Amino acid sequence: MTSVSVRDLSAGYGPVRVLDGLDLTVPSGDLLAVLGVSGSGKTTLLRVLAGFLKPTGGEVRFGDRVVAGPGTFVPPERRRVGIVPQEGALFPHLDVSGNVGFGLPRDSQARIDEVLDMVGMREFAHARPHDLSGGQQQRVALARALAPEPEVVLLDEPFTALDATMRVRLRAEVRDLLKELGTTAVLVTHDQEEALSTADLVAVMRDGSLVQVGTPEEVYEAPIDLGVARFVGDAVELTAEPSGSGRVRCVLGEIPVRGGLASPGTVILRPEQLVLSCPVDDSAPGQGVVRETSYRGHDALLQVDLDDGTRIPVRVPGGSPPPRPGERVSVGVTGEARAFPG
Amino acid sequence: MTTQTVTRSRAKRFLGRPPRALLLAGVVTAVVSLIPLAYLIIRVAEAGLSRVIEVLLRARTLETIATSVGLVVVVVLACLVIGIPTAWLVARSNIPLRRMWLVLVALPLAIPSYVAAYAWISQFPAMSGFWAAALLLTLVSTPYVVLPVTASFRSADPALEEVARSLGRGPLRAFATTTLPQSWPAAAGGALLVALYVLSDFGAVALLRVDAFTRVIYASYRASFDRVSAAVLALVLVALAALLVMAERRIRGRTRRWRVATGTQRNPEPVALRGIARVGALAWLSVLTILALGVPLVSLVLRMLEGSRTPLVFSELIAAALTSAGVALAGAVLAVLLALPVGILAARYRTRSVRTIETASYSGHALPAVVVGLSLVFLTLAVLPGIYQTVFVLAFAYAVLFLPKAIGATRSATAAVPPVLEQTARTLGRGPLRAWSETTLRLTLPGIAAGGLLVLLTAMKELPATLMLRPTGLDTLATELWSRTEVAAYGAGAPYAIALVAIAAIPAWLLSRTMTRADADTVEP
Repeated sequence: MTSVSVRDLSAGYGPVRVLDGLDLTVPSGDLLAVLGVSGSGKTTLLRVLAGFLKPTGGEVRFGDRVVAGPGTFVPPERRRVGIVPQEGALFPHLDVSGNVGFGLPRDSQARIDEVLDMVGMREFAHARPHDLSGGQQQRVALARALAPEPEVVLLDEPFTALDATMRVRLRAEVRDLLKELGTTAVLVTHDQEEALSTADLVAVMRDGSLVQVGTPEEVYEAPIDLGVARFVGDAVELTAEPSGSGRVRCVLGEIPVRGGLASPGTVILRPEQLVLSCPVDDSAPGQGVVRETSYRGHDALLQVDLDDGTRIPVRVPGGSPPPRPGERVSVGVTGEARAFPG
Repeated sequence: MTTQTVTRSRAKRFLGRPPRALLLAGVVTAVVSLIPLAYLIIRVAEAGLSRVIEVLLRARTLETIATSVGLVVVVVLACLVIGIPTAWLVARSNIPLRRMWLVLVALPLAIPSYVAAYAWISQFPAMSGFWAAALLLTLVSTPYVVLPVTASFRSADPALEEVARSLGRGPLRAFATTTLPQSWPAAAGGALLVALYVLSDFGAVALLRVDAFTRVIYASYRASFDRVSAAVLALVLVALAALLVMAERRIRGRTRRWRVATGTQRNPEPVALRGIARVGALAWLSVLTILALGVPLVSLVLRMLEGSRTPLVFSELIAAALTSAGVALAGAVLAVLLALPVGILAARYRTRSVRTIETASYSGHALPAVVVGLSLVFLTLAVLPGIYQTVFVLAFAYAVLFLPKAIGATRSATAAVPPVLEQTARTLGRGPLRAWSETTLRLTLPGIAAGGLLVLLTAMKELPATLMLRPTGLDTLATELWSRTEVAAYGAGAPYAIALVAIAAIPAWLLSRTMTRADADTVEP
C-alpha cells in the first residue's frame, strides 16, 4: 500500500509548460479522479506519474520513495506502476494470456489465471485482442496492469471508447476490484459523472493547475468557483443580493446559502434543488410560464420563463404527466444554494 | 474498433448484387488479362507430360531454378539485414536530417535495374555473375523493406512500448518485445516484394550474365529452336511468382487486422544516439546511399561527359522518347478501359464473383514481363500472324502487365466516393449510367487519370516484353539503352539512361508514398 504525493510539480513538452506548481496527495488505497477538459494537463500529469515524461521541477513520491525529483528519476520499468491506457493498447501480437503475463516472470500461469478470474476473462485466455469487444479489451488491459501487483495503478480515460451501458458497468467493476485489492489508483477523465461516481477524491484541473481537490460531495455541493460549479454538473445561475443571516434574495425569493454572501453576486442551484408547484398563489415569488417540456421517461426537463424574463431549467420526476407548455407554475427551492461574490 | 462499427461502415460502403452489365464487362477484363497465362498453359499441355517432365529434369533447368532461387534468397536476406536497422534509424532515432535520409533511402526505387546495371558495368566493366547481380539487386530493392518497416515503426502505438516499460522492460527490450514483432508483417511483406522483383527482373541478370529464369527464357526465345523448354521454364517462373504474390496478400491481410485501437496517435519519442553510435549510424546511412545512389548517378554523369565527345544524336533520343510515350500511352488507355469495370466492382460489391474477377485481373502482378512477352509471341505467331510484332501487341502486353496499377487507382478512387451520391442522383431522375457519370465518375476522374499516368510512366521504362514484341525498327528509350550497353557503347547510352531515371522517378515517388502509409491498401512493385 502506497500513497502518491506530488509537490510543486512542473512539466511540459519542449518550451511548452503544461503543468505548473502542482501539489497533490492520494492517500494509500484511495482512488483519485483527475477531472479536466482536454488540454487541461491531466494526461501530462499521468505521464509524469508513470515515468514516461520527466518533470522539469518538483517531486513525485510513491510512499517514502522519491521516484522523480531533483537529481532523481526512476524509469518506468522500476516504478511498479500499472497503466491502463486509452482503448487498452493491448499487444496485438500476443493473445490474452500473453498480454497478462507480459510483466510477470516465466511460469506464472497460476497468477495469469488468477488475474483473469478477477476480471472475468478466464475463458478468453487464448483469444486475440482483435477478437475482443472494447469492454473485454479494457478488462484485459486492467488484468495486465494488475498482474505484477503494482503499487499504483494509473487509468487514462479507460472507459471513454465504450458505449454508455458498458461504461457504467465496467467502471463500477473496476472500482470494486481496486477497492478489494486496496491499490492506490489515479483515474484521468473528462467525464464528471464518471469522476463523481467512481472516485474517493476528485481533483479538478484547469490550465495545468489543480483548482479544487475534495470528495465528490464537496466538489459537487461546494464548488470553489463558478467554473468548477459549471463543470461538475448542470447549474442554474441567478444573480442575488445578500439579505442577512445566511440568506440571499433572488428571482426565486429569499433562499438560504451555504456560508452566506457579503456583497451582490451569483448563486448557483442544481436543477434537482428546484421544485415545481402548479396551483399558483399570486403573491409567491418564482412564478413563470413553462416554455418547453422535453419528456425523457424517468424525468422531464422543463424550460421555465420566470416573470422577470430569466429562463431556468427545472427537472421534474416522471410518474405523473409534466406541466405542458403555456401552463403557469411556481418554482421553489430545497436545500442551500452556493454563492459567489462579484 | 468494435465489430459493430466495422459492420456499419461496410454496410454503407458496399452494395448488394452488382448490375449484370458491369459484371459482364468485368468478366471481359478478367478473361483478357488471363490470355497470356492461359495460352502458355495450352502450349505446355500440348507438348505432353513426358516432354514436360524431360525438360523439367534437365540439368540446365535445375541449374536455372537453383540460380534464381539462390539469387532470391541472398537478396531477400541482404535486404532484411540492411533494411530493418536502416528503417529503425530513420524512424526512431534522433539522427540529424532524418527526413532527408528517408528520401535518400527511398530514391533507389527510381533506378530501373538495367539502368543500375548499365551504370555499374560502364564504371567497372569486369562486373558480372551471381554475386554482382546479388549486390545490384540488393541495392535497388532495399527500399521495398525499408519503407514499409519505417512506416510500421512510426505508426506503432507508443502506448504499447510505454505499457511494456511500466511492466518492467528497459527501453530496448520494450522496443524488441512490442514494436518489433508487430513490424514483422511489414518486413515480410517487403521481403516478398523484393523476392518478386528479383524473380521477375530481366535487366540486371541479363546484363550481368547470370543464368536465372528470365535470361534463360529470353535466350531460348532468341535461339527459337527450343520453344517447349522456354514455355515450361516460363510456367515454373509464374508458379513461383504466384506463390510469392499469394503469400504477400495473406500477410497484408494480417497487418490490417492487427490494428486494434483507433483514436488519436502520438508519435513515439526518438531514441537519442550519442557519440560513437551516432557516428556509426551516419556512416551506415552514408555508405548505403553512396552505393545505391552515388555510384550509379556519378557513373551516369561521367558517361554523359564522355559521350558528349561523340556527337549526341538528339533527334534519336527525342524519337525514342516519343516512341516510348506513344506505345505506352496506347497501353495505358487500354489498361484504364479494362480496369474501369473491375475497379468499380471491387470498390462497391463484395460478392464471390467480384472477388474472382478481381483476382484474375490482378494476374499481371504475378506475370514477369518476359513471360507475357513469350506467350504473346507464341500466340500471335500461332493464331494471328498478321499482328505479330505490331504496336498493337506491345500495347496489349503493357495493358496486361500494368493493369493492377490501373485497377488499384480506380478502386481506391471509387471507394472514396460514398455510393449515396449516386443513389441520390437516381432518386432525382437519372438513369444508372448518367447517375454514375454525373456523380461518381466526375469525382473519381482525377484518381483514374493518375492511375493511367502511372501505367504510362511504368510502361515507358519496360524492357523485356518490349524487346520481344516490338516491331522491327521500333526503338524505345529502354531498348536503345539496352542495345548500346550490349555493344559497350556506354557513352552513347548515357542520355537514354538519364531520361529513364527521370521517367522512373514519378512512379517511384508514388510507390514510396504508398509504402510509407501504414494502412496501404494496394502495394505493387
